[in-house]
Amino acid sequence: MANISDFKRVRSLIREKTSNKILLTIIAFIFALLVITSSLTNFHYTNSVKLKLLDFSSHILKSLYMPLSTFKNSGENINNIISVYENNKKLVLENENLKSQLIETKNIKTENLELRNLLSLKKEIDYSFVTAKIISQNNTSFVHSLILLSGIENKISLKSPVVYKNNLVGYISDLGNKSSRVTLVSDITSKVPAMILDKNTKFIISGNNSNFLEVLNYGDTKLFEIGDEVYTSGDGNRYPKGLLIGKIIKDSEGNFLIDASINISKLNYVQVIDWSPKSRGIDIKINNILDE
Amino acid sequence: MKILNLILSNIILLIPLFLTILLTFISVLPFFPHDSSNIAPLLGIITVIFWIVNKPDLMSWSSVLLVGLINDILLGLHIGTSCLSLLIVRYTIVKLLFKFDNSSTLYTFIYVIVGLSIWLIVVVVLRSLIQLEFFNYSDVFFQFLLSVAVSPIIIFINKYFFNQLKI
Repeated sequence: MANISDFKRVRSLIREKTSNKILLTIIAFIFALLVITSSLTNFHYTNSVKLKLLDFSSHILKSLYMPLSTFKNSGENINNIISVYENNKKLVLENENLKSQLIETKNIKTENLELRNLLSLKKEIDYSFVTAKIISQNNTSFVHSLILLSGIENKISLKSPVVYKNNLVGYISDLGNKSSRVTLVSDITSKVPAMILDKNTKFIISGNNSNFLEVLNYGDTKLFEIGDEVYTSGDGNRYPKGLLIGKIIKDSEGNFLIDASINISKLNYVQVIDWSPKSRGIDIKINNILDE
Repeated sequence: MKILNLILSNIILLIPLFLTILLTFISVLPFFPHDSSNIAPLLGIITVIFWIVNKPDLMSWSSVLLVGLINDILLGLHIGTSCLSLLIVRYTIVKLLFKFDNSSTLYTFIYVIVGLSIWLIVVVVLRSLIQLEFFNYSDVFFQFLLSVAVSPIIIFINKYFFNQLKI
């Protein structure tokens, strides 16, 4: 064996180890096909195994994330220290603007409250949220998701909306005991009912596994303008009304797209909204999805 | 002592699997810059292909299935998608190894390119069929290119462990 080439050594090994294992090969392929089928049919056992493995993976991800995040954060901190003077200047200006806006907002809020009382309108739904740590960001071109270090134990429920400072991030698609998966708004499976506040137009937004979102089934495109802010419309009971999704832009072919307002890679934490019907004060059956 | 030696020798045999799983976990950690977060290199897949080429007996069908399963869970794919594509990659590479008489670093690199393209094509086709929708494929292409660009580093890391194994 010593005088044969490296390739021959490999080839002999392959022959030894694989040629007599045709049955094993067939079993492996059948197993993979069975797993896909059971996953597609939402077979209970496959789901529970998947969630158990997700919980287990979250421990490994957490232990790997700690040193890497320290390394990443220290780099960002150095940048912040270097630009502290310029940042401070900008923040002082921004703070002055915000102070004047705050006074305006207070006046509008008081006026709004008075008008609501005059019309005897019911109070808007207040929702509570759980802050969850991001431990994994799915870095592929065909799935856009995050893994959070919070699950059933942290009172998170399936299909709850996930936000960051009133910006829509996605929804909980898999829920384990200690971890959960967020399908991002940019994922191909994600469809969000949306609107432009001051134009009274509603449409559906769809992810397409890129950084930009597509606009579906809109009628009058003349209403759209570059820079318009797009918010959730609250239709379909999937997301609360008024969460910022992004701004309208145009691609090189003249199609309208939405540039998402949030930069996911810069986030360390997100907020998971408690969106169960009970927490929203809904005591009637609205649909099967929310009752799950 | 014999039992200890037996355990140690078996642990050494599991190094390729552990290394693959470790790199699969690293590839989903949130530390890639924003512009490249969608097209981050597929470190785990490159490692699987390296070991299939250089030590197919240590990257067996069962190991490939396990890596595929972990990949599916971490990426959020339908369970089995990555398993099936990795099985196809292993089957193809083993067949190719019979035809081309070299397993040098350059040939490993070529196998990695072939393996990555098969894996991406199978996963994308399966996902498109499952979702019944076509999505932005340019990112898939760029992810492939970035993975190919990074693969020499991963190959050399794996080569180091391969040389250390001496089995």
